[in-house]
Amino acid sequence: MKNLVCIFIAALLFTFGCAYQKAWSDDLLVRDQAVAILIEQIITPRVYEDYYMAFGPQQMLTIGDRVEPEILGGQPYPGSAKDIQGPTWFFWVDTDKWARFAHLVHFVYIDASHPNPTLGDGIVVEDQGWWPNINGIDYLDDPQERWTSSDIVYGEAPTGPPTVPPRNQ
Amino acid sequence: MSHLLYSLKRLKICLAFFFASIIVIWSFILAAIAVANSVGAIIISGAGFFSFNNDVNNMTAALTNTSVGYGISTSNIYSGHNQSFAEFQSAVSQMNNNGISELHIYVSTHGNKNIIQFSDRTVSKNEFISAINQSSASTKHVVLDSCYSGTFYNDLSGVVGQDGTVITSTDENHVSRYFTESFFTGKLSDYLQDAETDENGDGKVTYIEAMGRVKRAGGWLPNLGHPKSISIPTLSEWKQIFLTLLMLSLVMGFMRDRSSALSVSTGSVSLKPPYANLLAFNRHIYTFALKWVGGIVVLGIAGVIVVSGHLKVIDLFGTLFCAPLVAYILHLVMSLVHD
Repeated sequence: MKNLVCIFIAALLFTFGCAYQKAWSDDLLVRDQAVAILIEQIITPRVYEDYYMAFGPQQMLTIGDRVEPEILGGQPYPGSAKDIQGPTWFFWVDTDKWARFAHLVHFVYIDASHPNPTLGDGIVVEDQGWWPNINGIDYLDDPQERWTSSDIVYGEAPTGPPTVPPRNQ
Repeated sequence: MSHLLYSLKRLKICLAFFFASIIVIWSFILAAIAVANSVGAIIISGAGFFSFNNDVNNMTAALTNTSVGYGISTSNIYSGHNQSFAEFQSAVSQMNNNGISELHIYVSTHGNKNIIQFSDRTVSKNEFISAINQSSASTKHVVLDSCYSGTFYNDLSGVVGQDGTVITSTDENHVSRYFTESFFTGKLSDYLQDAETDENGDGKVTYIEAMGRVKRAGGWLPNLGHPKSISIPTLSEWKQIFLTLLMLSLVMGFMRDRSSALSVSTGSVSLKPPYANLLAFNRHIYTFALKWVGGIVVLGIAGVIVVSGHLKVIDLFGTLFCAPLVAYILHLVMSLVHD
């Protein structure tokens, strides 16, 4: 009888565990949702003419991953590194696609497990000056690669010089 | 009559020696100038991407342009893409070994304030300037195309020499923009090769002239660069030569007239006063002098082409203007000797 109770409890825990696991993975934001949030909450309020482009890896980042700008230190963008603490969609928003580096870019981290992330609650935006370096590997540092990448989530590759002056000129 | 012929013969021998000496001295001077003023260039990018590579190619074309550009010999140019800082330092040493006395340095890359990027690492302003200071060239022209390159401007100005130039693509607070090439370098290299950029008409387009046009034409597009030239603008050399010869001719003509008038007044020469002024020009002697000067000019031009490989249009016109004046002065000297 004791054994039967133990088996029953174990089966019950296993069932609940499976159910919880399914619910957890179902609750994670998919990439398209994260992109929509990025555009609605981060890019749209900031965008200037067609100077903006945004990029994001196809896979979400997980615990242990590290993101940092190509160059840390210096002015006007000293930058900072970030260690990922949970499932996170990462996006790199380039605010001036014609500018060489360093110039203002945003590293955007969207908590994939947050049901309804907003800026300050599930969304972190860092102002940086360079392209990102993810786990020691340069991410889209080459403009030719960048402008033709399948990781583009916002904006279009330039086809010539800008037709309007930059915002802070 | 025989005495006159003897004098003329002696005069011809003297003149032949005189001009032969001039030719020899001229050749030595040209050779010395060629050695002393050897010009070289280091044209590099600190990143390997296509727009940076195009910048290097554009500036190489501009600086080797012989029609109106600086016309630097390709053998004195070090150009490279995606260069490390060690490679840049090595290029400076190489230029020293080649005896370069006037060095052009062009760098296209990414940068922060007071920092530029080479392929292997970032380099601080002090490191970069220290590397440039290793150059033994007395005159340096530094063109830096990177974001916030204006932060390098003041410190670079202290190391380029009295006749040097410093140009940065932006000021201290702006970025450098690009597409297939840097907007700044694209324009600068175009204007360096365009005769219309030659504002003072000396047949040579300088960085400062090109930068003036970049600023006028570029508007907001390339941002404002920083040009610097410590040289004091003067009349072009040909204008000075022409003016000197003209004044010399007038002075000699005036002295010749006074000499004739004096001779007439003392009665030592049988000369009627109405013809005295005509002595300032003797067609036969002038034609003779012009032939000699013409010959020297042809030899001189040939020498210049042999030494430098090309002859500028402005030099051709300058020679054509000055040769008759030189012949006239020679004709006056010969007239005096003849008398």
